[in-house]
Amino acid sequence: MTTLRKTFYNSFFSHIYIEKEAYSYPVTQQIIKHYPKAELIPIGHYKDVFNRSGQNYTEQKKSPSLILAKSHSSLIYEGAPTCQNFGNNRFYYTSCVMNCIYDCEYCYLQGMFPSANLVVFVNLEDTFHELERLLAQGDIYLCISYDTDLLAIEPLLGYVKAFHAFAASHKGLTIECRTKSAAAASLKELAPLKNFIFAWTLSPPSLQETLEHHTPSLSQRLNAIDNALSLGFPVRLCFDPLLAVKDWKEKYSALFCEVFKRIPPDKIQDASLGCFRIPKDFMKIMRKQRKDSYILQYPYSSSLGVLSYEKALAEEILDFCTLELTKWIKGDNIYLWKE
Amino acid sequence: MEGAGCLLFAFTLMLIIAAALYSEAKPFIEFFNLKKDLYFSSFQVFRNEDTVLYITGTGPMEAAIVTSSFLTRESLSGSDLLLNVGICGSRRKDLPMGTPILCNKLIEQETGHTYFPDVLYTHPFIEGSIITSFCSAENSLFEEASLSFADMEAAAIYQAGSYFFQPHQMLFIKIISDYLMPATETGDKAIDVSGLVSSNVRIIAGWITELMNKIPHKTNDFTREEAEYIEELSRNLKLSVTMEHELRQYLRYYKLVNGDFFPFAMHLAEELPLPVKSKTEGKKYLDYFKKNLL
Repeated sequence: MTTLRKTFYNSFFSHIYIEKEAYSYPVTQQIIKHYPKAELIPIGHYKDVFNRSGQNYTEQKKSPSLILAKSHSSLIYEGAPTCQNFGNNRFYYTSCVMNCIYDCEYCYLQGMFPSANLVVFVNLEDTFHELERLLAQGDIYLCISYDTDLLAIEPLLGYVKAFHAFAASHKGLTIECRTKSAAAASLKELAPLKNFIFAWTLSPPSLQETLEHHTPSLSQRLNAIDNALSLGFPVRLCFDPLLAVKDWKEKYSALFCEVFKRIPPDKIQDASLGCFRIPKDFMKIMRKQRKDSYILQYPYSSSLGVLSYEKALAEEILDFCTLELTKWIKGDNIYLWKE
Repeated sequence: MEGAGCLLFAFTLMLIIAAALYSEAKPFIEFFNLKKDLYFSSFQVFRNEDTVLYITGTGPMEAAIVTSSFLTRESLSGSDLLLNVGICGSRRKDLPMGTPILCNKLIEQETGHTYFPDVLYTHPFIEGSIITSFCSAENSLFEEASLSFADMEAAAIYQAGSYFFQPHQMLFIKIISDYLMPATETGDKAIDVSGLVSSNVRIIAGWITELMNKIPHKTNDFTREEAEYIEELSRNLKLSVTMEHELRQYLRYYKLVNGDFFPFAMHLAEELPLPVKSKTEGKKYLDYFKKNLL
């Protein structure tokens, strides 16, 4: 399949669609320079490409294009109820990039966006202006890498560095950068900040191999975490989504053992646990796209428009994993996502 | 879409070719050895087992109407490909006549609307954008005109085709036949359309045949036998439509995890007094199925 992907499908970002308004931005020029052989296609508005009807998400995922656009809104949104706020009241997320280079079977982006192409909003400074306005009203907790994996594309965009610099000069802002990447080099350029948290999502190796396509292995992610900790960054571990696959107890027990064999638990800021959950409308689309995915085709139960495991099973998973995790992390530092 | 009739595994992948003129179509008719399909009287259709070609006529209006009319009558599968092939004018004089162009952006001159076929697969062609208009694109006001190619059908075929195909299933290959010069400057020389297309038919057909062989075939989740069994079981359990969907989801999951649901489902059904007498009884047995299938 890998060989087929290399020879049959165009390489990632072989086609770059560029809004006329986005063309002169430095990050646009940087990307064009990065992909000198890409076909550059001028467009009027990113939605002309991104929102086309009938796109095949699964096929596009094998050869995603890049769409460079200028956003006319602030791109800062209030956190969704299905997301963990880690005890923060003013919880926002930003979506300066839409879609991800990884291809996780359970990912909600497949149901949320009509296209697998990546949209990069090139006018990051407008997001910073809006953040300053919000910060004038009080402290903010901001997730910058929800609808994408910013660290995975940091060599291309440099957005993590830009948010890091902004966080350095705005103490009322706490940023979480969630990732599955193993990009260690990008971190070396940054000084550790208390208000800039790197959050790694971790899954049992067998699930990473079969469900999290194109992502770094558990071992590579643990190396990256180790590196981030040794540089002095606050690190959060996200065991989310927890999946009720065959032998899930053994798999998650082994995962926690492996993680804390490699990572000093006392250096971890906190950890989060959450069972797989997804808006019903998203799942309807995702199931059509991936008919062969056992993780999507599981008959989840529905509650208030969200699909997840039956309450008893969800509680059993969370209770078990919490108990396991408290062998290494204090209970106060474990955040659970509960309905 | 989940009736038994559309839950089949086997189908033949079709290549559907649209050409405006017979002279553009002829090299493909000969290459694929297509025979005239006399069922169609208002426009010409040629076909063999896995390739069909229809002639749209000239201009966007005809192209869209004929495309809609033809595709409505075809039974398409989710993996078929639509190829629009023909000649085009070029504003790029650095490209020789007869150069095939794969269009990645289609512009409708009259409205300025743009359409983007997905270019997901590797190919041997030069890419470019094309302006489709009712008449010559010589005086186009488009700022990209200097980089573009021009024809009279592509954007219209895309618009009609998008009701039947996904953006990655539609391919537009145009062969440069002129440089959009007024006729007096070209000396009124007749263009050998078939000759230009003929010189490219092998490369285009070769590429698309390879594509057809490698493109992932969409498969449906249940075989006809499985679908019929589910329908019968649902009838015997007096399930509502929602409950039948629920049963399908459990069986679909069971099949993905275990490879086959038949032996286990039949074993479960053996113990039940089917058909049930009431919907309440059916619901009770559906819960029994759900509990055991997970």
